[in-house]
Amino acid sequence: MGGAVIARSPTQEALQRLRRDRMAVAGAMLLFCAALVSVLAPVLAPQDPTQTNLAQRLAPIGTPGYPLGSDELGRDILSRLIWGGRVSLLVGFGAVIVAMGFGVIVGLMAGYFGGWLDSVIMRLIDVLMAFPAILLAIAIVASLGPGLRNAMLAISIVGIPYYARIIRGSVLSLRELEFIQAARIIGAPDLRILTRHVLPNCLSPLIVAATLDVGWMIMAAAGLSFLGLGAQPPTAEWGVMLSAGRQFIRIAPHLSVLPGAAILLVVLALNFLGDGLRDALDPRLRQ
Amino acid sequence: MLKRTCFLSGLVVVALVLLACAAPVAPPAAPAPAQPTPTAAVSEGGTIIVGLQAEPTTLDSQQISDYNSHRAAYGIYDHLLRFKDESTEVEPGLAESWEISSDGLVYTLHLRQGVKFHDGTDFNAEAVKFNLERQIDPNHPYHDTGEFPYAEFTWGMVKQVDVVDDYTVQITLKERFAPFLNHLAMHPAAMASPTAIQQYGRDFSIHPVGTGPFKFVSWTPGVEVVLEKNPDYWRGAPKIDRVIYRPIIEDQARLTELEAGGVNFIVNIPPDELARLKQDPRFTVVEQPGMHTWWLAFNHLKAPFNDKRVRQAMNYAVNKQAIVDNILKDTGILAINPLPPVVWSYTDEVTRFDYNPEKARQLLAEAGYPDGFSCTLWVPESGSGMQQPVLMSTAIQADLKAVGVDCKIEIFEWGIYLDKVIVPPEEAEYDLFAMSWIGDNGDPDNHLYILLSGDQWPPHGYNMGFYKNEEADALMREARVTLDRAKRTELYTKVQKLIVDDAPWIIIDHETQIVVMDRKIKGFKLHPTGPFRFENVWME
Amino acid sequence: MLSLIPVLIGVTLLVFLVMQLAPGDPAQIMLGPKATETAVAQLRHELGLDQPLLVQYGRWLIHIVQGNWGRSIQLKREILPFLLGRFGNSAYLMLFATLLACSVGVPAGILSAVKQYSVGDRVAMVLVLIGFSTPIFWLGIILQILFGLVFGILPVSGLQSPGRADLGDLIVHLILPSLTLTTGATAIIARMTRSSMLEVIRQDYIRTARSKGLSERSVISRHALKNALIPVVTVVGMQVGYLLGGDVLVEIVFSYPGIGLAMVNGILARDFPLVQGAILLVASSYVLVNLVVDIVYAYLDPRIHYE
Repeated sequence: MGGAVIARSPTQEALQRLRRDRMAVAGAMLLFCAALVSVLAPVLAPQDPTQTNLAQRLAPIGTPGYPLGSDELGRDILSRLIWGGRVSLLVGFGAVIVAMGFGVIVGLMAGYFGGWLDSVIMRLIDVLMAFPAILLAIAIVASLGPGLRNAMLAISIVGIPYYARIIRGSVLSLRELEFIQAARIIGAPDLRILTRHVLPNCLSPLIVAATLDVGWMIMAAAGLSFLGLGAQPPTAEWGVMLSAGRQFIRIAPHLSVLPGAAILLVVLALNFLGDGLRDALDPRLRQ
Repeated sequence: MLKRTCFLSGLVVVALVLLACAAPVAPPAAPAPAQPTPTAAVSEGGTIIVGLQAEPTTLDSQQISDYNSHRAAYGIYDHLLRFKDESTEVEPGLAESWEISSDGLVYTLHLRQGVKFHDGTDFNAEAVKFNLERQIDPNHPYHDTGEFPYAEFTWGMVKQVDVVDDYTVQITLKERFAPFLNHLAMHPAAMASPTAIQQYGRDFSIHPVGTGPFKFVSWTPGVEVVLEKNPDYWRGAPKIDRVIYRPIIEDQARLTELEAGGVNFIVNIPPDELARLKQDPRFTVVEQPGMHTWWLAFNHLKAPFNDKRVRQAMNYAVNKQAIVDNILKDTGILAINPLPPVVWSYTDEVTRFDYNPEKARQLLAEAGYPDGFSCTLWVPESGSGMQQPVLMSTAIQADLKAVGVDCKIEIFEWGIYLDKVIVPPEEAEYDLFAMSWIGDNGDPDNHLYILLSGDQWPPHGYNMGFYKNEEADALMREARVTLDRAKRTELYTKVQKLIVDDAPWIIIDHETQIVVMDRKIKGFKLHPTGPFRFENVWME
Repeated sequence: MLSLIPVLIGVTLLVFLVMQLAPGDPAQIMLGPKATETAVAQLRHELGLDQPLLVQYGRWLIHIVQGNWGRSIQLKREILPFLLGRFGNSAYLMLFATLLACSVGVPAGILSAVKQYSVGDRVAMVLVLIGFSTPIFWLGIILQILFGLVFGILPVSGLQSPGRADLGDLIVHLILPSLTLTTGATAIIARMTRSSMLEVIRQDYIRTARSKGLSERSVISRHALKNALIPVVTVVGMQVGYLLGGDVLVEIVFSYPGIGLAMVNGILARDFPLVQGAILLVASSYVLVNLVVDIVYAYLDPRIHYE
């Protein structure tokens, strides 16, 4: 890659590399489309996603007025998929942001200050990790009450250790570097060192991890919906559609195949993008 | 590649070490009983494998509080009296005959002689006294061998139990109680071996011994409960060799197992599959109207639900017929009355609330809500007798929205749900909630008085919406202590008319009990109280 | 090893508090809707649920130390033998699923790495990703219909056929649930093997081995593999630890009597002693598996030493 005439920032270089990764580009485009559809749901959806019609239940794909068929209450599947994507993506990204927020704070503190604080935090993280993830989520939802917000909160709590450990690891290796040591010696406040110097240098593993994690969160939320602990009716959400549709998998497979395929595509796109980002941000992996 | 092999075998070692500390998966297979010589008309032998919805929690009939346990345990025991086939009229059971004193307080039971429990213990009057007192007397030495959720309901009116002679027992009541004979046929009246209870203590729950047509063989948790026929059964040995109960949680998986041959008898059929199964020559579909009602209850202590016009309006707004026809299909029938049609004294001459959104809007306007209002609707995620609560409630929600009543659904799991809806008036938070009831003893009292009388507001009973109608209350109280059936029927007919016109609930349906089984299983009849009677069944 | 104890206390204390905060009364749930208030109060007293929280937890802890795991509120039986049985069932599934995941994931990862950017590499990696991105309960139901009904060759639920308890029958019952479970693990193992292999084959000693004229096959299997497998061991260990906790969704779909299902039922019934015991068992096994992983690590990488 030598021979670049104009000096570029590392970010620009990474973007340049990312742009050449066809899979990552495809993933990013798919995600962009999904996000666009979600944002435009009120305009795009042909019908009210909660409008029932018991006389037109389980209509097959291509029925007039129901381009992708209708569900167990005669609601338009296309409209529900469009609105459901909005909810599912929101849950996925929302849960990651919450988990990352908490994870980054405790991970930074543990790694930067070390000592007893590190021990205590890491023991707590061990406790969370030793807990079977979905069960912890179920127990949390059981005590907070079911619903989309609580389900999101539960899966984000489950996700905290993941981020805390990533950040702590990065901080441990950064802490001894010269520029951090220098900042400390000249007496810069800890908060400033953490936010100005430490955090920006942990960002790339964090971005990669978060991209891959959004998919996991979407699937975990679907799992909670399967257990009846996710979105409440009549809200359209992919996981709810999928788990409600499973009762009709033989007479009307499209009820569960369509939302299942939607989840699959989005998670796949996130993984392509995440892989691409990892390669782009970590040039050692490229030949 | 050597290293990799080592790595993998290392993994196997780890796993084996972990396995070594675990118990074996299955008990040794019990030897099949010797094949008896077939008799003339019906063939003998065969195994019925029942796919249940969930794992039983106990096989001690007196401790049962759920359907799956009731079904799995039923064949092990006999009861003092017995419900006739397909009916809730009683007939002799372990008690051959009985007399009721003229004041209606003393029940004298004459017991069948020569009956033995599966462990060889004699069944006699002492055993009856032991079984009843174990449940109701906190000072009984074996009272702490279990929890008895139905004891208060079934035996709460019993003052004392006396042994008259070896085969005669007297039960004295505190007050007259019309349905008492039926209680002698309910599951807490199943007779368990006193010797076995003394021997196993709390573990009697997993080592049940009764006098019934089937003996307990084994219970592998999560896998199966195995019963085998009792060749010495006093009514005559059953024709099939074994009954096995398997928990299969998912409705679709249970159906797939039936079609794949893993089980030959299943419950809870997905309604949309029923039509297809009825056409399928491999299976027989057995149906029986159940003693069941599904409804939404209003909180009568809260505005606007204390206004009869609002309650009636919401009744007109919901297209119950469409819910029954399209969602429940043949698994339920339209309900117009809190009392199921199979229970005696039922009348259909009550106020009807057929679907009429126009009238609903008009009534709402008269009540001062021309633009409707908002409320919350509580729904359990699933639950005994709740059918498809979320689906049904979502359909109701959409209907109510069409007349301006905007309900927000909140779903709870069954355990929390019961805790939140069975509360005294001062703690009630709900507006509207879904509930269902499966009758226990086949008496109208068990539906009307317990669920809708002003005396039965929680914590005293199950009138969870706090409905009260003084006139109906007085009639129901009278019917409870009247022993004459004709007089009681008259009283309950009046009660039904009064209550239905008040629209205390939005009543949706009465569930039909349905099982689908292998066509080779013959002679099976469903019973309205829920359990399966296999003693007269044979396999071709 | 000593760090085990605070983690286990933390885990059980956490589950205890979460469960206690949850609304719902085990006595009420157990007795059902038709029980009277007095009966519920009586049972609460018998179960010790009217005691202060810390007293309840302390009492439980003392009993555990004495080897008394107590009785399940809901299932009316001794907890320890019940849980060990369930744990054993989950262990069978874990073993089968892990073997399956390793035997597909590791070779796929190696081949992908050796032929980086080839069509085969791309296809393999996309395939494992598709497996990874498929909602697990949905896949389970589809496999049931496909193999149980359409082809009619595999049982679709449970652990054994009625009246049978032999190994063959058990294995047949394990196939579908493990297949469903492994999609995720296979993807993670394959990807980890690939990236770790890629890193290793760029190292100097591999270059040296190649320049000595060794065959590519021998370079990969003799020199690269052992080192490349080190991070894979961690991933496999994490999967084993996770699977020992039982995957609830798969256990529900296949009515498989594993420990995950027992725990979820316990949580829903507020069966405190059962859930506590199950969590204790699962968390201990998780910690133990991590310990084993560390030992395997040390074996594979002589640079690591433990005091």
